[in-house]
Amino acid sequence: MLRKTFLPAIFLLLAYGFAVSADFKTITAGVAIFLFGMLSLEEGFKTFTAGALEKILKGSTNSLWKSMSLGVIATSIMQSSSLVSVITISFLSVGLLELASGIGIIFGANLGTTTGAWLVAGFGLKVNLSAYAMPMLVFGIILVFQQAKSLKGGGYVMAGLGFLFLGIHYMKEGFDSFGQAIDLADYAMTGYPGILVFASIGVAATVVMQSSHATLVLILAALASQQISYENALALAIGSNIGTTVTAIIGSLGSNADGKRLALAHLAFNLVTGVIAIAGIYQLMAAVEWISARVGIAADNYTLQLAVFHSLFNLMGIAVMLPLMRPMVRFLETAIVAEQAAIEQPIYLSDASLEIREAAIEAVKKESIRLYDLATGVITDGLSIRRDALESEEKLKHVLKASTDIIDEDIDDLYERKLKSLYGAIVEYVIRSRGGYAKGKMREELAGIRQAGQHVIEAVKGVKHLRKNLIKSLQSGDPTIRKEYDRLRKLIIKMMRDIEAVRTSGIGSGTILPLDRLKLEIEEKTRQFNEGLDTLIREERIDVHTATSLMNDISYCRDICWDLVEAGSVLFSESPPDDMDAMRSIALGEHEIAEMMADADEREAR
Amino acid sequence: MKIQKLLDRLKDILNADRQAQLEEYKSLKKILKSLRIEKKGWEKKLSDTADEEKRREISSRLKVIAMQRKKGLTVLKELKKERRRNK
Repeated sequence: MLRKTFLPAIFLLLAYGFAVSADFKTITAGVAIFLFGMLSLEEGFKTFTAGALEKILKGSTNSLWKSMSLGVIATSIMQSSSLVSVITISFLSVGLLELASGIGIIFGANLGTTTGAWLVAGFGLKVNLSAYAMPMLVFGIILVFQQAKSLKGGGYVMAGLGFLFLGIHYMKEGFDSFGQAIDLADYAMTGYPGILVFASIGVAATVVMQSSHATLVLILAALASQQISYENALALAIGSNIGTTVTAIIGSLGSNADGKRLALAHLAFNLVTGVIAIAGIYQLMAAVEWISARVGIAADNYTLQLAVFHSLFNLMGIAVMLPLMRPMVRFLETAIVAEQAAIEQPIYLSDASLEIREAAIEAVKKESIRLYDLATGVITDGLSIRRDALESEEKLKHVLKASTDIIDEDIDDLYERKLKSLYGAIVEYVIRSRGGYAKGKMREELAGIRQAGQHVIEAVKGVKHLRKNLIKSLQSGDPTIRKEYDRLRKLIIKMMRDIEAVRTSGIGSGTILPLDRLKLEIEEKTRQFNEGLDTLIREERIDVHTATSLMNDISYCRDICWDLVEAGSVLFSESPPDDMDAMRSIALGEHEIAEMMADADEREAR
Repeated sequence: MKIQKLLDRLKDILNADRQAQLEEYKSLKKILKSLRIEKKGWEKKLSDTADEEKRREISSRLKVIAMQRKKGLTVLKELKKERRRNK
């Protein structure tokens, strides 16, 4: 009901405002242009930061001070705490960040956002910004139409700044001429009732505009033209600080438990800071007066004093909340628990990560690695081998000797519940991102990871086929058949162990394309199996029916190994996308491996 | 720097396809260089070891690297040709 009436009510209110006041039109147009500038700026930074932000986040968030500094710097540069919050939530959702680091960034972002007030109060309201805005818009839009990603990103940033400046200009103009007709200061309220009313207006305005920055610029413009009192402006600023958490809360709705925890931490920080600031507003005002006098801000320069106040109360919030951070992390982790489902649900694929390119790739990769890990469990069960055999260094000969009992798991059920639904979610996510913003290299990369998931699924399907005769071989007392199937089991487990070893050392960190060696080994072993089978048939040690089954199962075994290696070579690569493309073009396929085998045969024949 | 080289560089910056091609070319060269270094390392290990099984394993690695290099050099030549055609 509320949602249905909210938008029409806002529209009606705005239409009424436009009808009665031309200045109101100018002010709201200024706000709209400013918000459009924010959108353009965000788009520019998203294009610009592809890959770089991930690297910075990984390297700069291993300590609380580093995360906080990153939050301050990123928000100061991007001038949007909401963007930083949403990026942080999406990175947290895909496991690129820990909750404590995410909270550190949010704390820093709260301080970083105060630089906006300083810039607008100190520079924006004194200079004719429209003079700068026009050329920036022209240059920016020309750059937006360029093909090169960096130029396009730069264009969005430049055009975004141009729109921001133009928006501020219109807001200032609107308030200046508004002041000549009506004096809003007549409606000023003093004392705590006024503070509470104006703080609520600040919350509401920020919720509607989804930007505390826009609210703050509006407050500064109104304060500069003396349309609101200083005391009420401070209350509005406190309100806008609380209202800004709404963006993060909306952003977290589509994310996992960690994203929700961070949004709650953000709300707690801004709410506690707001309550303390309201309770001690007069003491803070005295402190602002004292600081302003020390740094040379005139007693009647209320816009700069508002900037001092904004920084001061956010600093105070950090001082209060910092010692409470560890207990807060513990509380959030117990209060919001990740759901456990009977059908495997994705944990990294969230709408929040879909918004940010690098986060989307990381999410698909991590989910596919999870799919691989779940699949290895199903495969070992399917082969009736203990799951810990993969990690142990026990000789495979001994592992197989000990694995004579059938592991009674319903592989079809495991496949349906654990793997199929998860792979379906990965495919859907890739299609959604590819249908949206994914282009060029990113599209290829996502398609590559999806293909790796397909290989994982194919490997499990192969095991499902192989298992039928494998169980028969384990149940039969025929040592010849048992031995043949043990050889197949051994090759698959060996491949999984070797892939695990490469995964630990990391593809691209020292050795190049190490999994290609396994492809050659698969082909050599397959040939040995087939030759051995020929001998068994010739010597009449197995009947034709069993031989046909074994022939099919050798083929399944080969395909399972190839699928696992192909999946591993994509999922466990740590190389940058460009190197990955180059590696993919060098990686050996079945054709080259066959060529190598033929060369070896030729050499041997000579 | 000659005018033609400067123009080529400018073309690379302004043309997204050319830029992507250049990056691919550079990556490929880097990987081929790494493969050469890796090959030398394994060759040294091969001459240092007498264990027959280890020698077989190293030989197999060397064969794979040789094939990867052969394939990579063909791709590199193709890219070079394409870049020349697009000039």
